[in-house]
Amino acid sequence: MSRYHPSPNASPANDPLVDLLGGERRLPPPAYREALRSRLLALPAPAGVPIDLPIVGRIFIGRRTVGLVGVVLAGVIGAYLAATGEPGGTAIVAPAPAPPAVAPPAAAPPSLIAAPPASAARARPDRAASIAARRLVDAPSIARVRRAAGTTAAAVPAAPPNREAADVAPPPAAAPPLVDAPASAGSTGGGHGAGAGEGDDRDEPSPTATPAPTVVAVDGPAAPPAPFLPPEPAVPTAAAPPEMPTVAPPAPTPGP
Amino acid sequence: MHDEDWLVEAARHDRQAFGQLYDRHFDAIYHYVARRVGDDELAEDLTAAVWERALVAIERFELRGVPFVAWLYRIAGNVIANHHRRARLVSFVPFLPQVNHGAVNSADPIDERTAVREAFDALSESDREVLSLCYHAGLTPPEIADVLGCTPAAVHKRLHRARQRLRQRLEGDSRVTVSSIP
Repeated sequence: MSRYHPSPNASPANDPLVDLLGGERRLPPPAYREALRSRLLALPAPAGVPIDLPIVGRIFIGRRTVGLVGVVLAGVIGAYLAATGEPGGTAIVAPAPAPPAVAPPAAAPPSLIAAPPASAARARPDRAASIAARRLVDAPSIARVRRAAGTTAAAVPAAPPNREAADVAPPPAAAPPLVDAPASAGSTGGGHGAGAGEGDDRDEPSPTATPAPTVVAVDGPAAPPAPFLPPEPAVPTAAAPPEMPTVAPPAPTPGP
Repeated sequence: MHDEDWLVEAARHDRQAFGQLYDRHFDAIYHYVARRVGDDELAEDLTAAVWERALVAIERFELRGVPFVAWLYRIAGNVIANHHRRARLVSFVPFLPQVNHGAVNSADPIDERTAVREAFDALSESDREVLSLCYHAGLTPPEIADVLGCTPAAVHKRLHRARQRLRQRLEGDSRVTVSSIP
């Protein structure tokens, strides 16, 4: 007899509950026992596909259920493949090519006589022309002001030739009267001597001649800057522009 | 490996092998169920339900170091608990025949055993289960641990508390000498 079958001596010793709770052994009727055995062995075997799972254990799934699950899975897989459009694997999408790097435009040096940016000149020729014209007008006046203030011409570096401005810019209009106005042909009789001397200065200004301390030409109102251009910074490093021919004021006519 | 493990493995596919297991353990299971419910007819119905459930579940049964009969006792405990739960729900419905589980068997002596039986029936399902496995089925604490799926120390603790509660219920009853209860 196995240890799991009760026996009269299996209970703990000196335990009154053994007699109080134990009582006599209950036995089933023999007929009942045989009838139940026959009925159990005659029961049909459970139909299904046995599947052994690691944690749950063995489970049984009906054949009809297995078929339905297989059909559903096949349909899901087929739908997924049709949606992706590839026989297998995931579609690999190449990344979009990076846009070409746009180099930032080179900043123009802060020079008073600096040439305008080539892109701006190409984009707005009229603007470049206006810029060049304005420079031709402003540069000499600024240099003259420096000379009048005591700045030597040698201290002022020579300005590079503004070729682009010269190519693009139209012929400058009539310059406003400056300090030394050239003597007219008709008035040269009276003030010839003085006119001659002034004429020499007028024709070829001597680099060593001292500038006129008393007369300071005041230029006309500067042309308004272009509406879409930043104002030009006043940089004293600009070279002295080429001298414009000065027009000397007419000599006072002598009295009768 | 137990001596009947080969028989259990064969019973998963062979009904004749299952019949041999039936012959080995039917009486013990019936005695346990009958002592738990206290009614012979009810015990027959519940025992049949236990073996029918075992026949269906034996194909999923796996030998994991627990004896086959401990698995049968576990099925029996679940069937009895389901019956008590159903009976408790039915008791709330009027005009339905009430099943008095744990009815005193006419073969038992009246005075002291009757009082103990009444006090036993008044215990909770958990206390009755562990006391039945110990005193009705005659299992040792390690064997009870196999049935309940716990440690032997837990079984000792549950037995001790169940006896204490039974003792408290028997206090004041002149028919029982409380000092005789451990």
